[in-house]
Amino acid sequence: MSNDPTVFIVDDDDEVREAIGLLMDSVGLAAETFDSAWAYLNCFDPKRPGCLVLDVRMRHMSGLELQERLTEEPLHPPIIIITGHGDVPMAVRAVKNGAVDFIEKPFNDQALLDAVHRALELDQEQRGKALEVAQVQDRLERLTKREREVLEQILAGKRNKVIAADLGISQSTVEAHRAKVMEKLEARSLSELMRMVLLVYPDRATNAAEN
Amino acid sequence: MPALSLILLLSLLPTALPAQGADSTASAADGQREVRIGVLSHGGDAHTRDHWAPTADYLTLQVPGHRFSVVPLDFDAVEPAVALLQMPADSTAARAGGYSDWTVPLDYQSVQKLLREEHRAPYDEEARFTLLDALAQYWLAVLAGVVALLAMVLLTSRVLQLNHRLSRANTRLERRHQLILDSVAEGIYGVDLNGCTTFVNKAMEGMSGWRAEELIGNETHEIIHHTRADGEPHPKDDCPVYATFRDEQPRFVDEDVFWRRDGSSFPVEYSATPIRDEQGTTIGTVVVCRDITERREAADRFRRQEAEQAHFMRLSTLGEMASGIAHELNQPLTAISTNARACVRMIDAERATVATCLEVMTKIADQAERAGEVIRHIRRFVRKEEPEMAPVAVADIFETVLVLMREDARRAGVLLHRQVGFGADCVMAQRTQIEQVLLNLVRNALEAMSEQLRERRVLLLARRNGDVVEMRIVDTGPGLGKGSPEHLFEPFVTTKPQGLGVGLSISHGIIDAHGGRLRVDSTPGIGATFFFSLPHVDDCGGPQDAANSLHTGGSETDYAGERA
Repeated sequence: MSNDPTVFIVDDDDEVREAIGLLMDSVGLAAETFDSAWAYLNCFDPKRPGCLVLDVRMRHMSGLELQERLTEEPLHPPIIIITGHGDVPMAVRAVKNGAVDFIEKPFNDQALLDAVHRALELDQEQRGKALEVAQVQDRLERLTKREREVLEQILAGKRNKVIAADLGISQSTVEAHRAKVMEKLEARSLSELMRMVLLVYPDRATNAAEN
Repeated sequence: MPALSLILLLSLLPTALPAQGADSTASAADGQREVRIGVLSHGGDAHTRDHWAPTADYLTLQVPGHRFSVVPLDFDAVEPAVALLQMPADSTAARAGGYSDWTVPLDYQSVQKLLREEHRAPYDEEARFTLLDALAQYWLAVLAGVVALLAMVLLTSRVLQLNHRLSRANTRLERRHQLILDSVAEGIYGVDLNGCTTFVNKAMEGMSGWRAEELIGNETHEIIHHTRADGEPHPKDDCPVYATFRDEQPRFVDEDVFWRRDGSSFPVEYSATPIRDEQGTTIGTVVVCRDITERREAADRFRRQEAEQAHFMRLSTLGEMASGIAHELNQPLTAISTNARACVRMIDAERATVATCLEVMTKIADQAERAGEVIRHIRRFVRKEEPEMAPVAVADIFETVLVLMREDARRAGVLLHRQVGFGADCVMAQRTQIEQVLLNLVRNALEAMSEQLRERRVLLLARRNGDVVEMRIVDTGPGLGKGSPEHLFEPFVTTKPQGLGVGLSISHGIIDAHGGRLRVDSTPGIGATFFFSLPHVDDCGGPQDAANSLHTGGSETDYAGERA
């Protein structure tokens, strides 16, 4: 069950919430409804795949506040904002903060379903990517200190000879470390190695470009 | 003494008197002359002779050479005697009779008088008694009379003159009074204790169309005051004008109607004051009245303008709340369309059961009704209606306010409560205006609390207090700043950066028009309470709508978000 994606619906209007639940049900999507942001946060499980359909205007904690809370989490379902008239500037803010879509009430059912499907794909993608990141991080953990240093130099785009001179070791030792790094990270080529590291440290890309 | 003794003294000098009936045998034998005195006798000859004998004797003694004797004379003998006396001396008869030298002693009053009456000589030529004689005889009396008459005439003319002057002064005074009365713009008339008109001024004639002479002397009440404004007859026992002379208390009536000659009526206000005479006894009532048609019209115009303004303000309020209201409509519409689509999809996928479909249809219908309810409230709120007071259910008013404010309250994170106390169900009010006031006040409260972390609540409360229902709008905001309360209700006074400062002033005006007063009670840091009173009525005239029957007499908390 936990591997099937779920559409989490948070809206404090009973009727709207249940109607959206019914709509999801009608296309065979599992849906769970919450009448407040707090109720959702209480049940929040980052491991559960799915997407979040979130109303902006709610008492106590608005959709935007909930969104801000969730972005602090490493992994959270993609957020679709549903909004009434007059909340558009707020919805735009929500999208800027990372919401995948915003839909104005009353909405076209197809539009919402499309958005939900897109969000679920994104979630799947995100979850796949997150899995990969976790693996790469796991592998990076296995590198020795020297191997890390060599990796840094490689990422900086230096050749073996330069690395050897910089670290004060022989060129053959550099090559041995390099081979070990490739082996531990399970990278078949330099480009694959680069992609893996960038996945974990996205900021490295700029460093590399600078050098 | 004989009752009537007319004495005729006949002096026969020297001849004897041969009078009829008298002794004519005069003898001069003793050389004495005989004088016979004829006396008219009434009591008989003997009596006359006896009575006059002493006189004759006395005369005989006193007059030497003469002998006096009394000859009683018949009354009938007088005429011939007188005739004899009047004979001229030289007439044959006189000479033959020797009467020619007879004389009549003219100093004898009675004789004179008799002669005069008989018109005998020497009075035979004399005219009858004339005015001149009377004048001559009574001139003093006449003079006195004339003088007295003159004095009386003078006095009378003086009195008449004074009287005339007095009456002229009186007339002048009356005219001056009338002039003063007529120069007054108010209609003035007086009635006596019988209720009859005693005087009427020009203004009264002008405004009523009745001529003074048509009113004076007639019962005023039956002419100008017979019917009330609502067409009901106005019995004269209830007439305040008549009551005034009965209980002798001055009174003021600010709303009544008088009737014109042409059968139309006009609104008046009047004062009735008892009239007292010098002794302090009430003798009637004086009424000073004013035609208030124009004032009434001006007030109507003002009320209409106010209503226009209130309508404009309602529209503007609604405009400001548009987004909240749109949301309030969006919610049910979203639920309706989503439910319907979901149902269609389920039917398409042949996954729909009849039970599910029924459930969804019911939900759709409910939501459509919910949307309709919102629209109904909005429409009634913006409807342009005549500013007329009518019995209204308090719960109904609260419902509209809650429907229109729910979304705004939700956004502001404010809990809206309402409570209608026992016996506070119905008020006499102009519904939309009171809704406008409540909306204004609730919106103010929401705004005041928007920044605060403390609990945000607004309570709409209706409480019975005697014959009024007290409406209170209680918030848990920061309260009012110092110095603002007294100016709060003036126009263009605002504490908000974007405020125009007309909301509270208009609210104040509306409550004023309802005969109440909008007041505020504030404790800084605790909250503010705005309150006002509306007249209570027992019956709202049947359930006006669903809200009435649902919430009357109850208390309810609307967790602003329960539906949204």
